Amino acid sequence: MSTTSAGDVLVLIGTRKGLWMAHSSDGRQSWKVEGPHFLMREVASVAYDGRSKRILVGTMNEHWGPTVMWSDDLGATWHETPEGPIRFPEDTGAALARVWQIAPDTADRPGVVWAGVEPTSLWRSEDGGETFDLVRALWDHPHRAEWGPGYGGAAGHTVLAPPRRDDVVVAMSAGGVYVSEDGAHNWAPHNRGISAYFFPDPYPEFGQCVHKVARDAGDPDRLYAQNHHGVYRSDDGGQQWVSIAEGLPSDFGFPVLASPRHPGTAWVVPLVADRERVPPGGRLRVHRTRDAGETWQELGVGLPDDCWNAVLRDAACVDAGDPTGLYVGTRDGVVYASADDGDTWQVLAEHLPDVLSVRAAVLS
Amino acid sequence: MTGGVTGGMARGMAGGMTGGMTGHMAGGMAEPADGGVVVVPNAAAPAPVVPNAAVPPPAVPNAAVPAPVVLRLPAVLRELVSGHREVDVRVGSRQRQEGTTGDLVTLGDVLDEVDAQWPVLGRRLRDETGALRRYVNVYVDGEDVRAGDGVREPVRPGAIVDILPSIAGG
Repeated sequence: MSTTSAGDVLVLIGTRKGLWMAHSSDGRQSWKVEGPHFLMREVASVAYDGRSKRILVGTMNEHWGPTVMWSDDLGATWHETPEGPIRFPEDTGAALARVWQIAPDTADRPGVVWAGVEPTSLWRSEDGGETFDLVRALWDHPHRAEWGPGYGGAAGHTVLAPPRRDDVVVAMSAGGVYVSEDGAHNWAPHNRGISAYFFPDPYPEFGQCVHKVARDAGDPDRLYAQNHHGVYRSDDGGQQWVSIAEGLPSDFGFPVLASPRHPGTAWVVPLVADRERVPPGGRLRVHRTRDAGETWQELGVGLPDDCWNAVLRDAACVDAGDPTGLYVGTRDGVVYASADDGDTWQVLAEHLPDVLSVRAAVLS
Repeated sequence: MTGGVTGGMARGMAGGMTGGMTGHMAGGMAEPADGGVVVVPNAAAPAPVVPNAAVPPPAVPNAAVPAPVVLRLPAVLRELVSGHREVDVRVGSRQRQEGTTGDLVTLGDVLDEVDAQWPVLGRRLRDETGALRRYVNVYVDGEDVRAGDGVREPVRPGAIVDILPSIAGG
């Protein structure tokens, strides 16, 4: 990648067959896309750690297995820990299948990076993502034997750690939301109000297929969840969830995004389900709330009216710009970008393999 | 790609280890007493031992030193061993499974040595439980190990171990 300047925007695009990177130096008006890196490797997780200016990617090749790669020079060179960044301890009898989430922690915990992994587990690094340790407290949770795989695999796919607090929120498919209030030492399910209609009891203590959780910009106890049917909000750190799906064309989807700047602002990408998994009527639309889910607005300027592809749970993200930039990648290899909170969209990249993960960062 | 790629002993390097020649090869290849292969920096390598020209080297390999296993790699993995198509893997006594005697080693022993010398390559072939990756095919002297004893397949000195990816993808 050519030289960058403060204020430029970097978008990492993980696909089923490699990593692409997009760069804008004109306020997100135009993009230069380069790639692929790791051609023929699935890239299910991408992250940019603004603290260290490090790119981290979780790759997986069906022949040669999964790993985490990192770059400290915007992709000019890549590194891999020789002994393996994530290795299940021998006593677990488990083997790494896929890295679904890489989540750099906040500035007050330098070097800490979290990883959500298949088989369902949480990992913590203290060296910027070069090596990770299994969070035993979650691995040894008595519920683990009953956590099942979603269609995409048994994944710990969401990790949220807010600044200046010790609570950690993890969401898994299918297991539900689990929260630790003491820095990952003890864990409890937090799924009250989230449905799991595929069980005899539709509101079990755990086992929900939660697709994604996002934290509100203004209130760290406010969370949004996109479930396997159901869009929810919690105002108490996940203790209780209420439905905020009214006003949406469908309560099914995969990603949920929260504005990093504006409290009460969040976005979802509805899909029709279960027999189908397509945008309603083939019209790809993003829906935005500015009042924490009380009302929703359909956004579609620049989005296609003839799109029969889904947007997967990590194939959408926001950046920290103002207005907020949004990025949505589809299974037919198109990434749409908005520089104005989702009001209008343009094609950032197309003809890529199906998009699995997208993350964006405003470079400092 | 960086990250712990060590040289091992590549086929085609001048010499190899012939019977009766002791000491260090030029380039810093040292063989410790237990038989494993390590690489030492060239700058620290002592001058090579030159055999006395009046005494020709023996014509047969030293029977006490088993011939190394030859690991042959597909193109996609060669960058992990500095681009070589083949590497020699010499299994030391420490790697041998309990109960094995003499020169008998298993495929698992060979892959354990691969893990030690080229850890990234080792992880491409097996997961952390030691199981061969599902779409990695291994042939020992032309025989598919999955039709035999898998990682417990015996490997004779000088055997050729082929690593081949399954035909898959879309």
